[in-house]
Amino acid sequence: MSPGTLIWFYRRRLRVHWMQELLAALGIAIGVALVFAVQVANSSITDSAHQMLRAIVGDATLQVAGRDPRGFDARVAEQVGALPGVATAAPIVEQRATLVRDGHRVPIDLVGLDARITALGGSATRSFLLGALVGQRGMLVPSSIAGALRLPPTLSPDAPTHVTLDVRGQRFAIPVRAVVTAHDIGSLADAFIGVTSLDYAQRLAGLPGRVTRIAVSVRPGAEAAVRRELTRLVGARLTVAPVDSEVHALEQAVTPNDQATGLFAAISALVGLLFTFNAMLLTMPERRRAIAELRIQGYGSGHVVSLVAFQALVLGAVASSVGLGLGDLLSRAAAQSPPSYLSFAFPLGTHRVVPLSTLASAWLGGLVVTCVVASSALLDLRNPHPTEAISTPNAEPGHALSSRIAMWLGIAAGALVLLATIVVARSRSSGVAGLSGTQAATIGLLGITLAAVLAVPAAFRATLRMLEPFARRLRMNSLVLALRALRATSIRSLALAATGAVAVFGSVAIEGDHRDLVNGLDRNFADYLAAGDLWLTTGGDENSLTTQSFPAAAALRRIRALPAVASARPYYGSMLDVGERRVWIIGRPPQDRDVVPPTQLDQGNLATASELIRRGGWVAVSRVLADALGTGVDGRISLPTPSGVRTYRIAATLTNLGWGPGAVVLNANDYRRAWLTDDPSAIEVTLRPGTAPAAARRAVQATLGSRTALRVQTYAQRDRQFEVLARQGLARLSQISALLLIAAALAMAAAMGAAIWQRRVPLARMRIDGFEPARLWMTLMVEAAVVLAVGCVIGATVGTYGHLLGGRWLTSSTGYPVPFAIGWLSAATTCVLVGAGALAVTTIPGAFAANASPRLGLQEP
Amino acid sequence: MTLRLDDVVKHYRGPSETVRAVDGVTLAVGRGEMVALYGPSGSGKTTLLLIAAGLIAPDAGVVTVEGRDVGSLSRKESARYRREVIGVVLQHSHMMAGVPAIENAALKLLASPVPLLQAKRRARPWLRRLGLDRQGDQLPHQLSGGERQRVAVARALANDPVLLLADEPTGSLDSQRGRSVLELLHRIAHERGMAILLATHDPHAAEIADRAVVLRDGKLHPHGDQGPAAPGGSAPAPAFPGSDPS
Repeated sequence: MSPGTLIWFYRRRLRVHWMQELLAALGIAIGVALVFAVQVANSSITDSAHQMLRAIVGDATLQVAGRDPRGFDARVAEQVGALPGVATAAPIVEQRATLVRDGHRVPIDLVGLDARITALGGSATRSFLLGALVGQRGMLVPSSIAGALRLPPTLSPDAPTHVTLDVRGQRFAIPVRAVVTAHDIGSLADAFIGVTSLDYAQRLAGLPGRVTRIAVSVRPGAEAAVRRELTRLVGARLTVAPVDSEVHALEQAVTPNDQATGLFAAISALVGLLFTFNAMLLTMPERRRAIAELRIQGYGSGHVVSLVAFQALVLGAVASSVGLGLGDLLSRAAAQSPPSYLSFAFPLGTHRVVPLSTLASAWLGGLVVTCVVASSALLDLRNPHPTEAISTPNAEPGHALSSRIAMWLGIAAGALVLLATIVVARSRSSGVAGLSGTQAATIGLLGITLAAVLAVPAAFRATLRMLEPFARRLRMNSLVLALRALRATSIRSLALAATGAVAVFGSVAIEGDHRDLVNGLDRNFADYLAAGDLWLTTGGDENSLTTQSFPAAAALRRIRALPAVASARPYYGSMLDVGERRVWIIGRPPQDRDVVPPTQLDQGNLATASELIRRGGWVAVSRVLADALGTGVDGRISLPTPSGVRTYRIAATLTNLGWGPGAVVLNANDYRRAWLTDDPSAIEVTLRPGTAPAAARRAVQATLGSRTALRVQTYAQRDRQFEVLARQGLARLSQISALLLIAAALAMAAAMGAAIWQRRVPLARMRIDGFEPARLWMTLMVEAAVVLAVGCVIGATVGTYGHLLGGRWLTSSTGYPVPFAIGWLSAATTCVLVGAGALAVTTIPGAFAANASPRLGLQEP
Repeated sequence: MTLRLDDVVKHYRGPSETVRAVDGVTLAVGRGEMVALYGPSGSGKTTLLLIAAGLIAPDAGVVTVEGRDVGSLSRKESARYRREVIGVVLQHSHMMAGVPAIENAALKLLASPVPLLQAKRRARPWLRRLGLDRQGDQLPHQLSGGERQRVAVARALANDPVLLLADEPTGSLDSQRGRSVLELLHRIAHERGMAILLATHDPHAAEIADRAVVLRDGKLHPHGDQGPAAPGGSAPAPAFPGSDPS
């Protein structure tokens, strides 16, 4: 068949079925957009961090890093630089800090550098502006921060603008001397960093003579030898690693979140594609009749296949392209606001990276799936006799679906559910049949989604069979008529029920897991915060993990002297690289009521574990970390602390406490000994009974003075802050969930609208037979109710099971706290939303359709 | 002979009984001959036509067209047979929605690598001869039932077939228009040496056709012969499952 003829056929199809094509295209576009946006957003976090790192350290390959934010003696840099094979050893001070101006707060990575960094050849550090800064008091910021702080567009080293810098509990007014753009520093212009000279950064951080990292470039061929020498020189107390280990740690940290987001996106994409399939099903009877007629006229299988393939390719290409456009917009929004909880553990950028492979795979994926979905129209080609292929007793031509097929589909649905259960159960860490745990779980949950659709024909037939005697006995003619109509137009009815099932399934499963995640994190934070009536921390909201330490001796003395205060205890927290994981270390005061968070316990006895940890030498460890290290309860864990490698016994395993790579909880005294510090990262304050927390908070804030950067919050304030942060961290999941519900309601409304439009002629014929519009309308409503009931019940049932399996996988594989709770209310709300949307569409246009002129029924079929 | 049916049998097995739609039919239609096939509703006329078109496989018997066994055709050959050798008009021929009458009439030709313009040029004279020269640009929903039926006839004739199989081609036409269509088909059969087998209820057909036969309870009888009475009346035989069996 010539290309011109193929185009001719498609143009004719578009002229008549533009609405169905639009619906199908929308489903594909939504699926492609979600997958593309999530992939880009996920990869952008690590890719932009990698670009940032390279912009600063250039061709350095190794680094010597401190094991806590206070760093180590800067003279180590000279020793490293003197090693044979080392070309450059550039010392760096990095501190998490916050810039404040006119009420705008921006968390940044404060970076102090000296002239040695320029020898590394990083694109950003070659800038002459940096050279100009060395030796001066002042900061250089990229345009991303300048924009966020509303800084004047032009600054010069001689006419700086002052901003407030909060770092390690201290507040400073510092001059910003230059704003650099992408033209000067490339992708670093999107990063949240502030650059100062090394000695100025040391002074601001209160760490004179100390650095946190040394970037090392080596002479060709000398890397292995240099690494050995570095390990020998400083390996006991400092970490010697490849310079990009920071990026690997970030990749590792975002993996659980990426896995969860990826799973949700995959389910949503499948739901979008099933909407497409259902939209195509609505026109399937017409398509099947048209194909049969073409075959009667002598069109061969090759002709029909090329026709269907051409139309699918055009639809898939256009819809996938639109999907990429939508996905691009979504990913831009996501890139602008990377999860803030990460910003206190890693230097982050907002630079969006779109790998060509992501672009191509999303586009081709949309195309392939469209072709697969469209190919269902070709199934009739299996029958050599076209007229027989589309006909069956009790149904209009084109609606043929034998009870045998329905039964097999039902069996396939059951088998898929069983298979998915096994796959998800076995996907915990080892994976299944060569697939990773995540891939296996994703496939398992996609199987459940598909099962929701496959179960529809059998459930639908069973419902009709069950209702028929009931309708006859009660002489409910509207129901009898509705059942006849549903049976005669089985494909269309199934398409509607399946759309409802998929819509409800997606919303129930994803919203359920999303809700459980939020609940789990809320409980976790409630446990975490319960130790204090007041909390003193440094930094802003982004310091949610409380890992920034500060000198606290004076503050502790003053607070303890307040009459409202019963006790004030130093709390210790920091990040520590254990292997490739950046682990959250929590040093809890032994006096805390709960040293081990009770709701986050995975294995072990709560009372025993708490007692052992209080005694010292014992820790509680996230199970994801214990699994990764091949240990468990009663086993041992070695931590590379600033005082050297220390080994602890494991008293209990926990969830990941909301931090993907995992956490270690130990006694504050053990922490102080191993980390060689008295600087806490928070102060927990317990008030005397009867003291109002708000008044006590004001008293504590007053006693700290106006120059402090310490933040005093009541338990309630901090709990609210954590709730907000948890939701912000799960924002992408929330967006996917909301998008899915909107898509579901739209798909259902559109499907009902299209179905009613197709019913006008048969309804007009019934009017010729004397049926009153009111009776026809009632019949339509009963039909809609039956279809919706079948779809919603299947969707809610399978969706709840999908929610359970998804939650179990999230808990076991990602380590997040995900306490399963059936969301009856949420499932009911989803059913009501989807059902109400569909019924609303049925009610009014249904009334118009029921009032269609009998003359319309005179049309030939 | 252009069309030859030898002892053709087709039975439909239902849940309670077996319907003998076609029960040992032998019939031949020669070049330039028009045969009218009469029979009450459910007598198996449509089934017989579908078997001759290669759209249904008979349970037994042989169908040959121009000496070639239709039952032995591969799927690809069968499609080519319908595209190039025969023309088929079914009772409810499917018109492509949104496609003008002239393009619907040319539809069959597009299966071959024929440009649309050329296909329309070949189809237009048939529309004109069927009295639809002014309706060529009208869409299916703007046509009456009779007009749509004539478009279907034009489509079947557009490839200049050697055999035309038509199921009630005048069923939706008034008496005068029906007669003129039958006369036209008869003329075409003679002009072009085309064999025509048409299933019909139209009483004019027997007058116009070269020969008329009656199919009753699946068996063929000469026209005018009432044949053996069906005991207790016969159940309608479906042409294909789920459709009107006439």
